[in-house]
Order: sequence, then C-alpha cells, then structure tokens
Amino acid sequence: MGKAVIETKDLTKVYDRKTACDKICLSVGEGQIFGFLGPNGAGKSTFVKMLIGLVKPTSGMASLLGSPIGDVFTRRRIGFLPENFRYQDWLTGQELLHYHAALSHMPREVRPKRIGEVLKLVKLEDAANFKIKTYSKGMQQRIGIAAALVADPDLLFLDEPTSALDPIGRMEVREIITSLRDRGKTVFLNSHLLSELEMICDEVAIIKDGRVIESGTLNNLLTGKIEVEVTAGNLNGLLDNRIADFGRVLKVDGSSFVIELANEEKIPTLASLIIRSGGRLYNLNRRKRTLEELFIDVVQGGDQ
Amino acid sequence: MLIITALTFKEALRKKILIAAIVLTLLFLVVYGLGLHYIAQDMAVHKAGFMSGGGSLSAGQEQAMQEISKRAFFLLGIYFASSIVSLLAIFSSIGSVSSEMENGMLHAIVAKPIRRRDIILGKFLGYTLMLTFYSAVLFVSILLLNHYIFGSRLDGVTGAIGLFTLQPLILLAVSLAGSTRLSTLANGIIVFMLYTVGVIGGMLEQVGAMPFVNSTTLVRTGIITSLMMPVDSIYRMIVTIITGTTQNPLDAVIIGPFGAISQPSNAMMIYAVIYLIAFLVISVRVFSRRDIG
Repeated sequence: MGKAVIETKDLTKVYDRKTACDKICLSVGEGQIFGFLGPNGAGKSTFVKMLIGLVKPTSGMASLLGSPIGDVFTRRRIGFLPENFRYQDWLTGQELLHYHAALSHMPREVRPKRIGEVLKLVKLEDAANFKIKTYSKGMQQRIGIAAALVADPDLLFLDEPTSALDPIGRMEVREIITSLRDRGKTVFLNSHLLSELEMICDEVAIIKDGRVIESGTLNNLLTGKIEVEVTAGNLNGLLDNRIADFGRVLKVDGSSFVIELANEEKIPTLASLIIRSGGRLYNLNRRKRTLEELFIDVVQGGDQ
Repeated sequence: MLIITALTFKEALRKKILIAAIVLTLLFLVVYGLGLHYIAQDMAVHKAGFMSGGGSLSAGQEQAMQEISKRAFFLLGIYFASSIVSLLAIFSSIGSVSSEMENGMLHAIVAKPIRRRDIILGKFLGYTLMLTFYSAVLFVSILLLNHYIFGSRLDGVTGAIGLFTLQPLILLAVSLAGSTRLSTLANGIIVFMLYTVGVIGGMLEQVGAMPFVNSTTLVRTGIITSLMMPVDSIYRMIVTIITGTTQNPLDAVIIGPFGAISQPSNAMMIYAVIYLIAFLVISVRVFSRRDIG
C-alpha cells in the first residue's frame, strides 16, 4: 500500500442518542480504489460526510492527504460526488463546471481546456450548452462526476456514482475510475452495486451499525475461505457422516453440494475419499466467493 | 465569496425573480401614477369649485393644504413600496440555505475549498445587490412620479433612499439566519409573522401618539415591536425625512398611522444596523457549526 491518503482513528459520530459511526479506524493508501460497503443506515454516508467536512465528528481523528479533515486548503485536491446529486439546474452543464472550477480555485486561463476534457470524459460535449434541468437523470449524474473531476483532484469521493446509469454508462464510469487509479489518484467508492465494486476495488471495508466489521484487500477477503462445489454420484451416505467431518456443508442440491474447507490440502483428500468410497466424481470446482456472498455472510453473520 | 455572490445574483435573474418583481412593480407604478394623476385633477377641480362658490383661502392655507396632500400621497406610495421590497426580501431568501440543504445542492459546494462563512456572506451580498438595485429604482420611480405629476419637491427627500434600501436588508439578514437552522416553511412563517408584528406595532405606536389618543401603552408597544423587528422604524424615519421633523397637526388627521407622529430616534437607526449585523453573525455561526446531512 502506498502512503495513506485517508486515515481515521476512532472516528465517531453520535446523533442525539444514535451512534451513526462508532470508532471507525481506516487507512486507505495512495492510488487505490477503496470500496466502502454496508447495508442501508449502516453509517456509510455519515462517514464520508465527516471526511468531506459536511458533518462534524463527535470524537476521533481523521486526516486526508496528510492534513486534518476540515482543512480548506487540502480540499483543493479533493473531489466529491454526493449521493443525492442535485445541481443548479438553471445553469448549463458548461456553466456548472465553470462554477465548480472557480470554487476549486482553478486558474481562470486553464478552465476552458479542462472543462472540455471532463465533458468529453463523461460524454456530455454535445449537451454542454443545455440547461441541466433538461438533462436525464443519467446525464445529471455524469455532469456531477464531471464537477467532481474538474479540478483534477488527487482524492475522489464518489457516493453511489452509477446509481442512475444504464449498463453502458456504468461500464464507462468504471473505466473512468480505473483510469484515475492508473494516474495515481485515490478513489473512495460508496456503492451498493457489489458486482461493480468487485470488478474495480483494490480494498474494501464493510460497515454495519456504524462499525467496520470486515476490511482488507479484496483478494484476501474473497479467497480467505475455501469453498468447493462437488457433483458426484453414488455417495452412499458419505455426506451425512465422513464428508461432514471435512468442513461445513453450505448447500446440497441433488447430487451436488458446496462445502467450506479448512485449507487447500483438504481438496485432494476430499476427492480421494469420494473415489475410495465408490463414489463417481463428475465435478470438483473450487469456488471463489463473490463480494456479494462475502457481504451477505458478514452482515448476516453479525446478526447472529 | 464573490463566486457565490455572482451565482446568487445570477440565480435571481435566471429564475426570473427580479424580472417578475420588475414587471409587477411596473404595474404598481402605472396604477399609482394613474391614481396620482386623477387625484391631482380632482384637487384642481375641487379648488376651482370652492373658489367659484365664494370660498377663499389665504396663500399660506392653500400651500399648507397642498403640501400635506402631496406628502400624504407620496407617503402612501412609499408605504406600499416598503411592503413590496420587504416581501421580496423575505420570499426570495427564505429557502436560500434550508432548501439547498434539503435537496442536497449544498453538499457539493460545502465540500469545495471554501469557508462556510463565505457561502453565507456570498449569498447575503448577492441578495443585497438585487434588493438594493430594486429598492433604489422603486424609490426613485415613486419620487419622480410625485415630482412630475404632483409637482412635489425632491430636495431633502433623496437622503431617504439609503434608509429605504436598508429595510429589505434587515429582513434578508433575519431570513438568512432562520434559513440556516429552520425548514423553509417554518422560516417563511416566522419571518413573515415577525415582519407583520413589526408593522402592526408601528401603526399602534402612531395611533397611540396621536393628540386625541395619547396612549403611552400603545407607544411603548410600538417601541417593543420595533426592537423585535426594526423595519417599521426605518419606514417612520423615512417619513420623518420626507415630512420634516416639525409636524403639522393636520398630518395626524390626513396621514394618520402612515405618518411619523411618534418619530424614531437616531439610536433606533443605529440599533437597526446592529440588528442586521447581529443576524448576519448568527447566520455565519449557525451555518459554520451545523451538520449538513
């Protein structure tokens, strides 16, 4: 991990008596795409709003790009797309970007070129001179992304950036995000679209009831447990006794079952047992867990 | 701050707030001008009838009657214009912060490298530009209509223009402060009620000060409401500038509660300015400290 651009220590927000974020400790390295997941009301947006400066933390510390949160000067290097994107719809797309560039203290002489670039990036060049109120929801989300990118920030917070986009639009936004990473930028992504996060994130953290309950690199989290899908005939009751000793049977469907194994060495032992016991092994497939499965497992597991 | 100012002013133009206000104001000025024109004609006819019927007025009496009548109609115009600019100030700014917080428009702005106080001061300055421009044009229009139709004198009256433009700014500061804490609807109701209390209190004070009423209680009530909302006091000071500090006893009868029988002190004007600044400071402090969820 490169040097940390986001660091939080015991960051807490309490509204009246409800704890929205409870002592959150996170570290996000430079040049990463970091996914922040959690069920509705888990505290994701509150956490981002604290980092961005919209909400004051009750306690704890946090820094962005090496400066304490709230530092106005550092915000010149930060871009933000809010979840409920809403912009001055009486402005044209181009005017909105000029306005955001000016608010970001971008020098006047470089604005036209940069605005042209981001309009091209989000594919809104043809609609640049139309008023935002004439834009579709997807176009509004694109202009929001352009507004977040216009100052060429080093750190970008995107809260549900593809919620209003069609599949092609989502793919394009994914390409924009990965191209930012390629240029050394850091992207903090809040999203419910787990399959999309899985495609692009380097690290994720899962939050529930205001607390981070799982975090790490996506690779470690998804391969941490060994799941094997087996299709076999003539098992002769093996499933009920000896196979169950290998690990937790997650699912049984006719002649197929999914089992969670303690380690990789158990895979050939399991195959050997089935064959030695007279079983007919048709398929043995090591499954990689999806982020969605991990998410459901972690979130539901926390309930138990 | 100036970026926010420019955007606020542009918003007033683009959303046609200022344009709509100007169009409706033109309508008001046409109706008011026609009223002045026909009143001037009627006065001439009545005077001719009075004289032909054997009546006689000394030069002093005639001048006094004309001066009071002219002042009365001039003040009537200023009174309604004060109401118009006050309502414009309230309704253009009641949701200036709250509605943008409610719909999330402020989220992307607050996250920019800009201090929260600059957002508030920028908005205040933007609305101030719009309201000052509008108030000044309205005041001068009424002044010119009275001058050309009624022959009213302009000297000494133009000084009131500064006070006239101050009125909406006080309401703007209160409305902005409320908008940083309250919902748009609650803020609108509270600021409008406060304005109404100030106006009614001001009228009660004038009635209480009339020679044939002479009620200290009513005058005190007016002073208290002026402390709560000093806009009416400013109007009374404008009246004092227009009519002069020496009151003609007939003013109480003809101008009535629209006049300034009970004249505000200079201290009240200083209080009004401090009141405006205090609400601006409250706006900045509340907005700087609050969570924007």
